[in-house]
Amino acid sequence: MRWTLLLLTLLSLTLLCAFAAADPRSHYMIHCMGCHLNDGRGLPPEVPAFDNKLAILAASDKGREYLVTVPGASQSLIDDAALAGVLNWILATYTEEPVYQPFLESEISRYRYTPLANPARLRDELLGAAD
Amino acid sequence: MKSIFTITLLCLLAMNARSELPLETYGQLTLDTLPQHTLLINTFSHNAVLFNADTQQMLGTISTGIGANAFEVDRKKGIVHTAETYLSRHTRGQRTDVISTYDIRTLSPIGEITIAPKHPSGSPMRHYTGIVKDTEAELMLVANITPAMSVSVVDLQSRTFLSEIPTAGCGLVYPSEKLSFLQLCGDGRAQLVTLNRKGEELSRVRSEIFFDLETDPLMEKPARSEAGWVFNTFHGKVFQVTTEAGKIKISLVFNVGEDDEGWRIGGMQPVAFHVPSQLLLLLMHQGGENTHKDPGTEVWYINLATGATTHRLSLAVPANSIQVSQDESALLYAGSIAEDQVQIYDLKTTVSRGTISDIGLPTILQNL
Repeated sequence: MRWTLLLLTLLSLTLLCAFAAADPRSHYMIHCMGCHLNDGRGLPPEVPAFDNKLAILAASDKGREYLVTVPGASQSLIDDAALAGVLNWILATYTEEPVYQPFLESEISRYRYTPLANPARLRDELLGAAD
Repeated sequence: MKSIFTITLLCLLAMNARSELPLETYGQLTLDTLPQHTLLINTFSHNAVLFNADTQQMLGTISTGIGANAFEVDRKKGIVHTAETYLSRHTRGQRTDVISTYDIRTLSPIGEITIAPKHPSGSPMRHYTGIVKDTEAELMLVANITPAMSVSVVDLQSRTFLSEIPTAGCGLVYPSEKLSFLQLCGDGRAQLVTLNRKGEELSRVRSEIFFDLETDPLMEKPARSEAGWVFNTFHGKVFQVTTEAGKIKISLVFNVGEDDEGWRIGGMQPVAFHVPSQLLLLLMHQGGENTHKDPGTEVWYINLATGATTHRLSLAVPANSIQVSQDESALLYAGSIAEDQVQIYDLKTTVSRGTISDIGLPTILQNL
């Protein structure tokens, strides 16, 4: 009986850990929240706030490339699938309308490894073009 | 009777002596000639102190702003520059970041240049600033972390703030050839940025990936060799990073190795380089994984060309930072925060040459 209980506790702990590791919200807390803060408000202009502008960016190829190549995303210590997961979680959490096309791992891999020199300027260009 | 006479005589003598005491006034001493081994010790106390390392005598103090880090030394002009942050109400209020220039002779500020208020402060670091120059221009670079990374560029001749170069994903400043500088990036690469004399970016390139952030991160505290910069990883790999024709070259110099008994490179300023003998000095401790900030108990002498360990010096007191003077009769310095002292050794004979004490917690050590 005691062994069964121990086994069950271990099993549930393992499951809990596995779930936490794969959970995009946990990834957000570990890899994004330091700068973008707990509610996504960031520290504009250097750290943009997560708001409905994300939806505008996620609606164009150039904007999607931007979202993947900003150093906070591209250089985070998570693999492409996990980065896709946390980006989709950010879009779902901080935009007003649902984003029609989620990021896939393949899209992350395509953009991620080309460094972006000047994110602030590109962001202004992309959002200016969308207005 | 005789004793009364003696006391009266003594009183008269004392009165006479008092009337001859010279009037004491305050003034400023000047450092007209610097000793051969002048050590500039940055401290945790918003200042830096100068010592004659041969006599262990204190020469003076430079008071800096909060968050001052290291100094850019110009021996020819007799000046030093440092990036500082000031708040109008000391701990709060309007923030102003400046590059202050101090006269080495008087240790007083002789000018300042206002820069973007983005200069990082924290535990003292040598590589938040750097100077790049060619035959005509001399630019001082200040790394910014807001946490977005950028570099402020200041023209030291016209004393003007020229530009801010965004360096997303790459940080700090390691001056390279002419008007170019290296940086470290979060993807395991180094970056080389080249400027023109107006402080505008001409080009930027990244190296191959040469370190892994998760399994064996690179420390951001290298020493400048003649050819480039010597960096180390947490596990004890030592790389020399050089540039050639606008490209970054990485070569492995030394590896503590697998059979290492837990020896690691660590501290606040763990690497030094002695140019005349091409000797690389590493501050070592036994501690294994995740001890990269632990003080070192030994200084290992490494031949830069062969990677061979030629000597292991046991420090009397564990040290956080090391530095070496750049002359033939060189002194090796080892600063200890816990003991508030700097040990001095003869680099060649490894004999102790004394100790500087009661500094105010020594951090980064620099030659002046």
